[in-house]
Amino acid sequence: MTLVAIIFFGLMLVGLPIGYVLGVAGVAGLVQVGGQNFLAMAPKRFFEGLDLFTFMAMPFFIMAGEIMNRTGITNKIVDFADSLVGYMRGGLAHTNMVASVIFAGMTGAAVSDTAAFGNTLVPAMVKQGYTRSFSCAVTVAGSIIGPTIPPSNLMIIYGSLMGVSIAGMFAAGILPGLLICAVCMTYIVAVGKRKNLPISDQGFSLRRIAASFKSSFLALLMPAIILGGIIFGIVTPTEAAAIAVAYAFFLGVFVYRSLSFDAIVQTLIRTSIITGVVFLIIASASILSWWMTFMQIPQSIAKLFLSISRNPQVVIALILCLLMIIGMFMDINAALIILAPVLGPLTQTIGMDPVHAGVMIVLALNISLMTPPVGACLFVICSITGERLEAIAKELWPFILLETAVLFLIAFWPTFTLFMPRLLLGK
Amino acid sequence: MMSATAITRLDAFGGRLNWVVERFCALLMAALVMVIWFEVFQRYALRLGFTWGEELSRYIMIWAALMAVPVGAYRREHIGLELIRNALPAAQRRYLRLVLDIIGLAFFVFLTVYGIGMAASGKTQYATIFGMNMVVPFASVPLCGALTSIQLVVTMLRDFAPREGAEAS
Repeated sequence: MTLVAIIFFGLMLVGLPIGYVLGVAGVAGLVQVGGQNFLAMAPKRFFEGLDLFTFMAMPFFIMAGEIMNRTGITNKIVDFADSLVGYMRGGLAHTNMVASVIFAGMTGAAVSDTAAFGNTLVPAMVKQGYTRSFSCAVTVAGSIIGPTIPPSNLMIIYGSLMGVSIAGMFAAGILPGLLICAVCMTYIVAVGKRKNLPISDQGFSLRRIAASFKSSFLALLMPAIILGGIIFGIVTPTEAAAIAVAYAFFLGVFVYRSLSFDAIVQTLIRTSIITGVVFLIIASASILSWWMTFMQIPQSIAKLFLSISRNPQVVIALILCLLMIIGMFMDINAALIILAPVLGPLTQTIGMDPVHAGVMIVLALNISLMTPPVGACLFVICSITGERLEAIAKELWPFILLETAVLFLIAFWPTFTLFMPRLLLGK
Repeated sequence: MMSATAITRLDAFGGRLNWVVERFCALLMAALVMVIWFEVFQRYALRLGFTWGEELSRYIMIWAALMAVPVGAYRREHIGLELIRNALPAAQRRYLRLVLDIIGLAFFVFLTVYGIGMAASGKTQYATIFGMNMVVPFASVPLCGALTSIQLVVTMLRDFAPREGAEAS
C-alpha cells in the first residue's frame, strides 16, 4: 500500500499531469495486488470508468458555455447585472458577483466563469480605478458560485458515481450559491469606503434595468430552461444539457448571428479537449479506485475518522478539513473521484442526507479552487490578467474565509441546504 | 541527439496528425449532439420508444473524449502541479519534463498494448444494441493510447530540443 501511495504523491508533486499520475499509480496497485495477471484489468477499468450515461451532461454543459462565450452573451449578462447593482459604491465588484450568479445558471465549471469575467470585467474594473489585484480577487471569489448553483460538473460526477439524485443536488445548490453571493457583496459594501472603491456615474434607473433586461432576455432564459427543466423533473440533466446546447446554438446562429461554421468547429474541438482532460482523469482514477476498494481503503479511512470521534459534527468538520487540504494540492475532479467513495459512505454512517452530503463535499472542493498553491481559478486569472498570485491572494483571503464560513453553515444546517429540494422535488 | 531538421519534421508531423484528430473529435462531438437531440425529440415528440440512443451515445462520448486525450497531450493541456518544477533552474526543468514525459509515455504505451488485447476480446462480448460486438467501443482505448504515445514523443523531443523561436510554453 505504501508503494502505491509513494508513487501517487511522488509523481503528483514532481508535476506529472494528474490524469497520468492516477493511471500509473493505479497500474502499480494492480501489480502489487495480483502481479502481471491483473494488468489486463487496467484498460477495462479505464473504459468502464467512462461508461456512464449521466456523464454526458458534462460535455454538453461545457459546449453550451463555450457557445455562449463566443456569441458575446457574457457581455449582455454583465450589462444586465450592472443595471441592477452597478450604482452602488464598488458597483462593478457587485456587478461581477451578480453576473456570476446568472452565469452560474449556464455553466458547470468555475474556471469558465473565471475566464469569462477575467477577460471582460477585470479590465473594465481596472479602468474605473479598482486595483487589479482586488478585481481579480472578486472575480475568483465569484467564480465559486458557478459550480455551486446548477448546472455543476462536480455534482454530475458525484451523483453519477454515488447514485445520488443529480436533480436533487442541483436544487440543493441554489441557496448556498445565492448565500455566497450575498456574503461576498456584504463584504464589498463593508470595505467599500475603506478601500475607496469607485462609484459609477450611472445612477439607479428602472428604465435602464428594463432596457438591459429586454436586450439580454433571451440569454437570461437559458438558466431558466436548464434549471426549470431539471428541477421540475421535466427532463433529465443530460437532456436539459442537450437542450441548452440547442438553445445556445439557436441564439448564436439565428438570433445574434455571431456563430460562423468555423466557430462551431472550434467550439466542438474546444469542448472535446476540455472533456478529454476531465475524462482522462475519471478513466485513470477508476483504475486506482479499484485498487483502493480492493485494499478496503475507504473502510480504513472511515474507521480512522470514527476513532477520532463519533460525534457527527466533529466528523463533518474533519471531512471538510480533509477536502480543503486535499483540494489545495489536487485537481478537484480527481479529488472528488477518489474521495467520493471514501467520504460518501462515511457521511451516511453519521446520518447525513446523501444530497446534503454531496453538496457539502462539492462546495468544499469548489472553495479549494481559489486557495493557493494550486487553485485552478487562481491560475486562470493570473494567466489572463498577468497579475501576480501573491497580490491576488492578499485581497482574496477575506473572501476565502467568508465562503468557508458559508461552507460550515451549510454543513451544520441541513434544513437550509435541503429546503429547495424539499420544496421543488418534494424530497 | 536528433538534428534540428529532423525535429522540425517530427513537429510538423505531430501538427498534421493533431489537425486530423481534432477534426475527428469535432465530428464525434457533433454526432453525439445529434444522437442526443434525436433521442430527446423521439422521446417527447415522436414517442418511437427507441432505446439504442443511450448506449450509442455513451460509446460516441467515450470515443470523443478519448480521442481528445492526444490533442490535450499535443497542446500540453493535461496539467500537473508546477510547484517544484517552477522552483528549478531552467536547465533542470527541461530534464524533469523529459523524465515526466517518459513516465507518461510508458503509461500510454501500456494502455495501447493491453488495450489491443481488450479490443480483441470484445469480439465475444456483445452490446445490447444492433447485435454489435464490443470491438469498436473497446478500440477507443488502444487508439487513444497509441495516438497519445505518438504525440508525447513529438512534444517530448520538440520541447527537449527547442528550435529557435519554437519554444513551447
